[in-house]
Amino acid sequence: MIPTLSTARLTLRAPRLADFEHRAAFYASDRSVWEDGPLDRAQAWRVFASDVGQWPLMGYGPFSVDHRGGYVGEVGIYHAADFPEPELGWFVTPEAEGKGIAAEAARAVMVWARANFGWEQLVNYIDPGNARSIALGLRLGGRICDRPGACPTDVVIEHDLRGLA
Amino acid sequence: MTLPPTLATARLTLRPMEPGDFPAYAALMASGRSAFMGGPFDTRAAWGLFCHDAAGWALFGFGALMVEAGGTTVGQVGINHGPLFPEPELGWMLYDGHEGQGYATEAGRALRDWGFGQGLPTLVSYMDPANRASAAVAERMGARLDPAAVPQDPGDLVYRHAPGTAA
Repeated sequence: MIPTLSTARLTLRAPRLADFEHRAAFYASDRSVWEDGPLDRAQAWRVFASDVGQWPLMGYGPFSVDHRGGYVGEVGIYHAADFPEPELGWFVTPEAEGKGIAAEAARAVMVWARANFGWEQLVNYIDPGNARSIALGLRLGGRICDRPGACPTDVVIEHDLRGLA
Repeated sequence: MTLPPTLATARLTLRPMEPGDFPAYAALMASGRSAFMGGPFDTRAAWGLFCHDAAGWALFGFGALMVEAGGTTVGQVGINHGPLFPEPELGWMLYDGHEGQGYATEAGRALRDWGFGQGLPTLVSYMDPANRASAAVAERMGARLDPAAVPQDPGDLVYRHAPGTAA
């Protein structure tokens, strides 16, 4: 089952069909340029559904993030076939940017991952042009490391989970 | 999230997908057998499809199950839905060497009946007109062509299933 996690401001919950509209809008926009975008609606659906499908297969996946009852983004653990290991990833809507929402949700996911799976590390794979996401990874306490990424140019940021939970 | 069920038929067990099912699934998707599904697909694309097949259990309460005969996984049957499908769709595929034994028909019937039992209002199968083997399965299940139904892709045939249709 997909758990619900609560933080000071946020609820992390199972993705729902309606959440797809936000992902489709993201992939239709230039904001998705660091995530293999832009993608059309059919391509965006395939990405969304394949991310959500990790839950029944692996017991981890993306959480949809609510703030004051409204959807503000998606943060969770992604594991595509060409990922060397599970990845911590985040996405927030344009309106939710700059409020620390991705950071707050990512911390909750790291604590959950440590408690549930006993993982010692969790990585981010980030396009080198995505300065904003790199900054967030570092702000969360991660370190740029030389582990392999999803593609050879990725910046890989490693988070030490051992002090959590 | 709905936990996927395990369904038993006379000869088959329909069970939840597992990560260990992926190599055989990817092999099928890399082969000519995936031509009617838009393939062949590389490993990355196949993984996306594999997870997509499982996602229905998290999003809709129905999705795909693996089909086992005598302890061997012989294929997959699933109910697909989402923005890419005009209606919930029943689909099936068999791994190489397991065709011609009625497995797809038997598994399809079991998941169809389970789906209608869960309250699905309609169930169709979208089909490339050249995919005669799959059309024969739909017909053996008792599904009928519905020329008025909206196809998934222009030119698709749409077979409409009814609950408990006799063989």
